[in-house]
Amino acid sequence: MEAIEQVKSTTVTSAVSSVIMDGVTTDHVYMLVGKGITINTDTAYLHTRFTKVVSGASQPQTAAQYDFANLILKPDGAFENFAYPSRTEMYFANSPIGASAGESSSFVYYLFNFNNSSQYSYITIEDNVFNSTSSTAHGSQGAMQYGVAEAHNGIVITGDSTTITGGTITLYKINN
Amino acid sequence: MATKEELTTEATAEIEAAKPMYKLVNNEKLEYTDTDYAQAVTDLANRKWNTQQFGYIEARQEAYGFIGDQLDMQYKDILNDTTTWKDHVAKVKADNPKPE
Repeated sequence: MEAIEQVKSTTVTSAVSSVIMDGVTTDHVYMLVGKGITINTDTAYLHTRFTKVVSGASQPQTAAQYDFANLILKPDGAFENFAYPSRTEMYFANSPIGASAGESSSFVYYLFNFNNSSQYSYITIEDNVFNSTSSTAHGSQGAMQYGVAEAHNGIVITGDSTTITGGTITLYKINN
Repeated sequence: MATKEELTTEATAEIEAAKPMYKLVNNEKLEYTDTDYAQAVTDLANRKWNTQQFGYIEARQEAYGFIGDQLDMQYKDILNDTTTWKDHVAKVKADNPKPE
């Protein structure tokens, strides 16, 4: 058995408003990797939510139960700390994102407790986006939990006033 | 200052104009369901509201600059009997006003 096992991968080849990556079915730690995520509207946003199975389909969870905190590292000014309780989603790096050639987002999330229906689901976050306001790449590290004790099966990435035009998102299970 | 209802009306029109919208699920491109569209309207209206009501907080946080630089301003103000830091803070607040 591979130490890191690919569960599924999806590549955006035509514009969509959201990408659902489900496939968490065990108590393992999972890793979700996104690379080269592009959008079609300059200064728009991407946001992240957890999904769970409802009536046989993976549905984004939209209650104001997302608590997250991150540190934004940026080359053009002061670092920023954010701590937001009770939000309905988490924006990539809390940042407007560029849509020009070469401007894309990448991320690595580690998913914990997703298969556990009696604990909050939790992710750690590392991402890098092209901030369209400052025209520089911003890095972000942080974490987020969904404050409802229920099982989740994946993540949905959604464009806010934009479509997602490219990128590959892959879900891995960490066997240990 | 727009009300939440006005922003929801704006968001509804924008989502209507953006139709059809799609989601990618297991490499299958599916059109949004009615529930998805309703959520998209809610999300957009909420973001408009949050930007209008609270956008100044993040803008100010960014404009204040490094804490160390601000402490340096205060130290030099004490030494030189100047008001650089106070003026800086006042300008940041004026440039990024809190909504009435």
